[in-house]
Amino acid sequence: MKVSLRQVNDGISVIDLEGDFDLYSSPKAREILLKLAKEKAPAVVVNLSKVGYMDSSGIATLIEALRALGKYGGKLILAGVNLKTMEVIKLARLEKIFDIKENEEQALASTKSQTQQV
Amino acid sequence: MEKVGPENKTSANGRKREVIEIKVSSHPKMMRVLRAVSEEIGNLAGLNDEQVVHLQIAIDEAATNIIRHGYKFDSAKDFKLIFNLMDDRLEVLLEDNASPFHPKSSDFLSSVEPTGGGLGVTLIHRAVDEVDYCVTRSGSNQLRLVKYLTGKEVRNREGIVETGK
Repeated sequence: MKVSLRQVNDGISVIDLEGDFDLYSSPKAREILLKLAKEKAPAVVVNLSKVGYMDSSGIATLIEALRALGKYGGKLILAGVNLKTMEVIKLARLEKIFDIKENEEQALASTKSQTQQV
Repeated sequence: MEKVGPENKTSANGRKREVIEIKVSSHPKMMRVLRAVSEEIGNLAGLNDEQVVHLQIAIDEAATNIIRHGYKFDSAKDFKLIFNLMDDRLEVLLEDNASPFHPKSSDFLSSVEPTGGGLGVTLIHRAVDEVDYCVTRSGSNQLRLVKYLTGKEVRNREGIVETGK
């Protein structure tokens, strides 16, 4: 799986994942997500639009990141979740726990509106 | 990956149409292959699209547990999958020769760890209609997963009428 990090405006970070987000590849994503939490990133968007499959290791990585960011009020937003990935999230009954947006554009827009509400 | 079969057999639990056996090395890289095989066989068995995804999830998590907990990432080891395609269901048997375990033990249902421990077993139970574990006469661990075809009503081992999830 390819994992890349981009910084966009207002300190928002976008992580692009490409390939299968599983036992074999999730440590790479975990390392970046926890590093961002340690740096107290205000919001992190995980772009899953190019993820073909996500297993429980991928979900656990996202849960851990959600907890780590949440400790200081940071946000984790999932974008571009395809049907197969969504089915895994639904089976784990986490669809209401994660903030899920249709695409990166909507995810970034939501970080702005959340900032304005504060 | 070594493929054996398909064979034609019959069983008391519904008429068996075909049996497909594959042997997979215990390396996380093999998971991609296993997902593709699961999808193809799920389609061949007559599962609908959602059921195929659920089958993939269950097999994926079960195989991951063998690689991670059973063989502790020793890629020299391997495990076997037997797909029994029946008229009303698809039965999948995963057999390995690691130390015996029970998927409901506290170790497997521990809190969600960074590697997904515990959550994987929960996903397996939610994704398929039946999950059983036993040790075979030859001493192998055998995990049995069953996915009923949608609309088919059948009696399970306890005599309860079930239809596919």
